[in-house]
Amino acid sequence: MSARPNRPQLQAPDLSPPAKQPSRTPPRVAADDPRFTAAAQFETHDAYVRGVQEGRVRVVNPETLPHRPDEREQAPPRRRSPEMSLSTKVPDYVMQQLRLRYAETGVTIRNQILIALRNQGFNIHEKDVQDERKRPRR
Amino acid sequence: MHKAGDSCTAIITFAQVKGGSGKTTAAMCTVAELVARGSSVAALDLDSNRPLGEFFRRVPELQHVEVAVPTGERRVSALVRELAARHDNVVIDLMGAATNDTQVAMALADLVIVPSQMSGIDLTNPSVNYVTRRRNGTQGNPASTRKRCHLFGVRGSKCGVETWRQAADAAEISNRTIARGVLLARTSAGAVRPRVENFLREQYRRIGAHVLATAFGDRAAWKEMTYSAHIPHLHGRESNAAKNFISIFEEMMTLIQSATATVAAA
Repeated sequence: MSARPNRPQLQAPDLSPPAKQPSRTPPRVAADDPRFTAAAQFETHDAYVRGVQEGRVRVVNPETLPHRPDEREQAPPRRRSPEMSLSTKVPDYVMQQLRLRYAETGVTIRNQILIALRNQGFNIHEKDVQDERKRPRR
Repeated sequence: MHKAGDSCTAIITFAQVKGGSGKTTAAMCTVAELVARGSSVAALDLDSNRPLGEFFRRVPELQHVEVAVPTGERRVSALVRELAARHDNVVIDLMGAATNDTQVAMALADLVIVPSQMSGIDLTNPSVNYVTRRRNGTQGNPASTRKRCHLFGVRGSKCGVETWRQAADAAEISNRTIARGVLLARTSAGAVRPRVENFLREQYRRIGAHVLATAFGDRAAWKEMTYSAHIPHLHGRESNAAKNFISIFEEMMTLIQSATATVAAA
């Protein structure tokens, strides 16, 4: 009768709690920071027109002049290519940054990713980087 | 001065609707002082001549300072938010005119400094009309505020005075406490305060403006700074010019702290 072959030792799994992630420092600027809410009141086209009428604005900085609402409401050109669904997972802090950037700029998460890919050399046509929900970018 | 670990970034705006008042020099000096104190700082240059970035590139200790400029793609507030997310302090230098950026940068600020030279033109310019608004003690929204617009004071823009009132308006409309101070610039650097400086202080007091006790003295060091890249308070703390700006800076920080305490107590 042949000897029973030695079976490998069972290894106890590591049941220790996962190492704590280093805590991120609190953000310097909260999403609802009142300073930025306050400034936004002065960054609209209406506020600019009032400023001119009331004499508070006498020189225009073309680099920062708010767009007229009708300019912003113009429909963007249609995307040129058929679209396919892409689903993936990213670290939560990356998602938070994408959402924050969307809140600040109006550039959708889809478009942020496309722009980043284009910056990496992917061939992505400008017409395909459009927000068809007509959300203003400024 | 805010340092890493503080809960909030400090935003300092230098504003004056008249050009040549000393905004950019004061902004440069403020950035240099923050760097000298080991604080991280960025700047937003809203002057189309872009003097800040050009100057910082020539000073080795300031070459790392991030200077943002508007590109037309982003709002001023979005640019400042990005800077504030990365730095403990943001310094904003405005164009020397009443632009569409003026009140935006004021509303963003924790501290608005209004540099003013000694001449009457820095105080008042009678060729322009300025209408300001006043909220009659109510906590209303901007729309209700607009309904109560009325002329304030005599006709005529008063450059330093107007800038002060624009800052007051920005604070009122946005329902925020914004520390403010007038910085008298290019004053006599001697020990004796000239009569015109006292007169100017009195004119600002008449409108309720806070004038910093320390004035920005007219010294060759500030004029040479942009040629020599030698910043008195960054490269040596003992000269009279260095002590002058350090004193101004400490007053600015006191103003921010007082405003913060007022908000906390409210």
